[in-house]
Amino acid sequence: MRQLKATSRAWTFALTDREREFLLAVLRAYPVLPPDYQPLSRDSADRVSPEDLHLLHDALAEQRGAHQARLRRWLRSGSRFRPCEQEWQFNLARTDLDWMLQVLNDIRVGHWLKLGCPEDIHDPESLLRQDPAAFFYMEAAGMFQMQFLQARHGPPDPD
Amino acid sequence: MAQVAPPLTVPEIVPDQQSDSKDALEPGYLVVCWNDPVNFMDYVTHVFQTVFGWNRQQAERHMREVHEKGRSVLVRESLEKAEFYVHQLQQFSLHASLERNA
Repeated sequence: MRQLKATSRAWTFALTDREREFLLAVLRAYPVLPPDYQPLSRDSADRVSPEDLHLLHDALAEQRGAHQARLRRWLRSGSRFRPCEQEWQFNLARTDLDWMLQVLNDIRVGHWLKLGCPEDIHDPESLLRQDPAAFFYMEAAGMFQMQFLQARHGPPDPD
Repeated sequence: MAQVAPPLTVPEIVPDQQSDSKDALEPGYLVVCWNDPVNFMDYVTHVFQTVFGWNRQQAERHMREVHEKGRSVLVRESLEKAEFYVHQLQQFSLHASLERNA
C-alpha cells in the first residue's frame, strides 16, 4: 500500500489486490477486545467505585457498538475502492483517521491478548506456531496503522 | 397583571448525600499511561497529541517516558476529569489508569 496524494480533506492510497483483501479481512475482525479488559485503576487503594467502573465499561461497549455500525456502513459503501489499472485506490477522510486507528488498534491489541500478551512480539516463529491467525491479524492491523500514521505525520524518525 | 399566588408548601431542603465531595473536584488524581510491547511509539505519540492537544515534542517526551520507565504521569486532574481522560486513552486501547495523588 502506498500513499498517492493528500488533500485538506482526505488521503488517497493505492493497494494491490492482496492488500485490499488483507485490509477488508482485518477490518471485518472488529471488535476483538472485550470492553472490560482494562481496569480504571490498578490500585484498590484508589477506591474507584464499582459504579464508575461500570459506567466506563458501558461507555466503552457503547463506543465499540457505534464503531461497529460505522464500520459496517464504511465497508458496504460500493465506491470505497475504485479499480485503477492493476490496483485499487481508496480515500481515507481525515475525519475518519482517529476512528480507523481505534478500530485497527483494537484488532491489533485484541489479537496480542489472544496470543497471551507476549512480551516479545518480534519473534514471529514462536507466535506463528502458537496461533497463526492471531499473529496475522496483529501484524496486518499494525501495518495499516503505520501507513495511516505516516500519511498523517510523515515517516518515523530514524533511531 | 395577574397576581402570583404564594406557594402553599415550601419544599424541604434535603442535603445531597451523593454530590461530589470536595476531594472529587480537586486535582488529586493522576492519569497514568503504562508501557506495553504492542502499541507503536508513533501511535502512542499520536494519541497523546489527539487526547490532550499537546504538540509533538511534549507528546513524544511522555511517550519516551512510558517506553523507558514503564509509565508516565500524563496529567493531574479532578476525579471526574481523570476518569474522562482514562476513558479517552482506553478508547484508543492504550493501557491507562488513574491513581490518587499521594
